[in-house]
Amino acid sequence: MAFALPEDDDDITILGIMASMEIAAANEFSDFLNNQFTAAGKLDWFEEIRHYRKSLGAPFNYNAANDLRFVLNEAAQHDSQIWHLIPNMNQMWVNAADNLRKKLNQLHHQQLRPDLNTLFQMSTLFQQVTEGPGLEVASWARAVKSRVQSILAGTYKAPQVPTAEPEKPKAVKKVEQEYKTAKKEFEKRPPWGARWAGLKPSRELSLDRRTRDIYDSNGVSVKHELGQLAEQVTAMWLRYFPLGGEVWVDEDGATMAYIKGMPTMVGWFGPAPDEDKDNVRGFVLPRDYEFTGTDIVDLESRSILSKNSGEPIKEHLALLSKKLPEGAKLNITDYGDLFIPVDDGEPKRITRMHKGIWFPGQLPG
Amino acid sequence: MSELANISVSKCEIEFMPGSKPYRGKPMADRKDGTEQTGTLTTFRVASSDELNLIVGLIEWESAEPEVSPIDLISGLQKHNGLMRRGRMSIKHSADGKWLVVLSVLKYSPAKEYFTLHGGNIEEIDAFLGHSFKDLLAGSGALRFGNRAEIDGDTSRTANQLAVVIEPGDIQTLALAYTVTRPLAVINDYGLDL
Repeated sequence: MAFALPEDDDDITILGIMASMEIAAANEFSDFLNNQFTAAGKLDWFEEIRHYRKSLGAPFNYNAANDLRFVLNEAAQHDSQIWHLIPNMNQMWVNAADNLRKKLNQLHHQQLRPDLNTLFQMSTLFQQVTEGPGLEVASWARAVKSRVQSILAGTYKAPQVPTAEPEKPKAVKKVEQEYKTAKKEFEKRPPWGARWAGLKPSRELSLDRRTRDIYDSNGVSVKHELGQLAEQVTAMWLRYFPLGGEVWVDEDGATMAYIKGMPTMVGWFGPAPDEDKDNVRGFVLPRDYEFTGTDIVDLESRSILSKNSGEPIKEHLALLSKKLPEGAKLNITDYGDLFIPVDDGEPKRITRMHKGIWFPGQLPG
Repeated sequence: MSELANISVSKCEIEFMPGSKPYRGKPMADRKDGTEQTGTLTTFRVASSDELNLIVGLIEWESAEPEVSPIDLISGLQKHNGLMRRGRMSIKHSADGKWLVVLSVLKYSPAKEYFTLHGGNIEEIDAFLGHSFKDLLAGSGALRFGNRAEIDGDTSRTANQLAVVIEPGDIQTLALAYTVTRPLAVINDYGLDL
């Protein structure tokens, strides 16, 4: 097996390594199970599992045994048809498999930020699910973890002659291409408070923080153009851009201002697009949350949202209590899209949060 | 004077203009009562990632202490206007005849709602600069860096002021000290809790 390792924090390379590890692990698991079932005379074992799951009315969206999400899902079922075949199976394996499956689903929906920290997390999970069964991918995962640690510590020195990259499977190229497309969209219209990567828009306006009015270059107020949204828009701009001053508005209303010297997305001159849709946009923050029925808990720090948000959150929590069951697990993206994580398919946005009504320092801006 | 190369410091670029020219005006210390006098002006430009284009000058007066003063705000954002109104940097002579520059910093005052000069806090300056301010100035040729008691034997009420001692006329170190404590502080919204 040719091991691809990162040389730096290049996002496409990192994404390619994660996708390649998934394929390598899937193939190894699939071959391993195939051999076990064939020895037992069960040649159609995958179809048999499909029929069994369907007969229970469970969703089964896998087309082949070499889909890693199938292996991870099936092995973790209480009535699993394969767990007894996988050596050194225990609860830790099941937990790691569950976690890895969720992350892979995010990867396939361009919601997993391909950075070195993510790669470290992913290679740890790959190691945990492949080491016990003795798959070769475990060695690769260990090597990736070690390399990532060296890069993050600044001790890794890339070779002067670049190492030849192993040939990428078609599926990896597809994942990379989908990510590049999604990245272009994100860069065009980044989350509130994130860096503006495009050209400076042509319409220059000025936000006065004292009067909360918006003026054009002739000093004429244009706030009336926003109609009933006027107060909401100025509040959003000032949330990210409290000093006020010049802002630049693009044709679709996306608005940029300089904050700490950097061009930054501060909001929209008008309604934000997709506000009425439920698709989840952006990269998922690497933290998990739980809805208690009346509040949101950050499961890592155990902090409570209502005691930490910069702005009043009572009304938002009351609305959430009508939409969410007590104990619901939650994730959020850098766009502030709050959702219940799913193992398979696309998650649906429950609501959109912003930095004022979320845990400090977690969302951009 | 030999031509100095441009210097990048964080989000700013400093460009040194060749030569010097006569400059007529009132020295900072005498600006209320004093009469105009002639000085020698040596200029540099500070440009930034947020569209600042500011011409700044070292003015060496005939009969007053030298100073660094904004000369012309060619372009910039509304918040950069404060640089013209409150951005002068005074220079004193140290006990050993060198130049002593007090490192006050433009900091946003929530009460006044604009940037005003505050005593320099080295940890906070390092934080918005992204690395050591002391090392930056030392690398440019600064002779001593610290509070005025440490570097100039000051025992008065100004003894705790953060300052730097440089060779007289060292415009490169002056430009760095000015850029970090004035334009870069404003660009980074220093003092504003974001």
